[in-house]
Amino acid sequence: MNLTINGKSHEHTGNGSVIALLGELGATPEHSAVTVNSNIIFSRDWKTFKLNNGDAVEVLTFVGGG
Amino acid sequence: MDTPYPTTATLPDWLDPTPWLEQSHTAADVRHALGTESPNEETLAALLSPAAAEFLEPMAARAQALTRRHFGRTVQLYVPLYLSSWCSGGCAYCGFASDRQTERHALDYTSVAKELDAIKAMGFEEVLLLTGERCPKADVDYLRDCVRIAAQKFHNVAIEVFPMAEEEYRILAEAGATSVTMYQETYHPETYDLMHRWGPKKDMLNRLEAPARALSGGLRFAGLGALLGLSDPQYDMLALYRHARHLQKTYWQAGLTISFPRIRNEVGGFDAPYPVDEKMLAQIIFAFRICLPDVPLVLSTREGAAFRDGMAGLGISKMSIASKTTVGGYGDAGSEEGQFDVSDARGLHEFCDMLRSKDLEPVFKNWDSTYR
Ligand code: SF4
Repeated sequence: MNLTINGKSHEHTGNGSVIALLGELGATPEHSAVTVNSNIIFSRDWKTFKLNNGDAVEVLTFVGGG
Repeated sequence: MDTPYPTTATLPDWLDPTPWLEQSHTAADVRHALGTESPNEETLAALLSPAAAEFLEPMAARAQALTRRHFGRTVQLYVPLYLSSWCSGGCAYCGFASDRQTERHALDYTSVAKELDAIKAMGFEEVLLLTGERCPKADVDYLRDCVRIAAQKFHNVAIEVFPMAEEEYRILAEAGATSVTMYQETYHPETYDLMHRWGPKKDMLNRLEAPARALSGGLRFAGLGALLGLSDPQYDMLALYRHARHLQKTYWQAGLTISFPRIRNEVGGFDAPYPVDEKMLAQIIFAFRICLPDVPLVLSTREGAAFRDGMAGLGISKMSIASKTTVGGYGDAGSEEGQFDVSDARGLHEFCDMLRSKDLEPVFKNWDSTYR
């Protein structure tokens, strides 16, 4: 499905869960926060929340170490 | 060597954060803080505590809801213009400190007008004028004239300059200045003394009282902040909150903004003694949104694009963009060395496109100046 990730178009090939998407992007889940269409998706829902074609996803990855 | 400036200070009682630092907080305290409708020091202390690091998502959700309630889906934009890099100050963390071997510049009035025209042509309605410490090349008369030039072109003219007397602030307000930004850098007296190695900035209490003098002198907005990385962030953020609440109570008709500058590299190589990572910075921003729901929170181009994009609308409601930290740089005049490195170097259009893609509306002015 086609998603917009941090403003850029992205073709997602996994099962459409947030956790699958983070894996595909190579993002570290412990250091990430995710919004879908501007709503925060809590990490406890990342396995079950289903993304839809056309969703705008923001993946905010926090860089550690100051 | 004797210094003419007082170097040791004790925080006044109304500012001292220590009573809240002595408590430890549990997950239950954090949950309670997240639900409160009447936040106070206790709320902030809980939300800044290590226990709250596990609650970043609910904090983000609450911060986003409050940001939408108070600011809609808008992000106010501004841009800084450095007028002068002359400085007698000795701030250990600053690229303009007087022991740095960088060439010094000050814009003449013709260059100021040209730079402002270039900024205006980009679409901005708010400009922030900056200098270092008071010096012959950049004194109150110079600033007054620069403010006058800026006020003819911009709706909001903010100044981030040396602390002044109330009468001097009045002169700038009459020339058209609307806001003053005065970061305390750190509220921790011993650290403050250590970081400000020489110069008038050694006088901590003089700086602390400057925003109040500015508001008494007729400025309408005061911007506060502490430079994250200098001292224990919990100490500094609690004191910053108390400072803001104190000004809100005393100058209820004035507006406040709060910024979250984090130490970045600059010429002279300074390492932050208390580095703050992005996760902690996000926690701090969410905590302030929850505790000061209607105060604009500012994030500058010191931070990288990805972090700024994430925080826009999630707590942050005001941002700079397309910034130069060199003297001038928008028109044809420009120096080489900046005060600090810009991390988000995008242009205005690219940035506005990003905001719109997130359903956020860039706003260039938030009020009309009907008299000044
Ligand atoms: S922070 Fe300001 S006062 Fe201190 S050295 Fe830099 S320009 Fe000068």
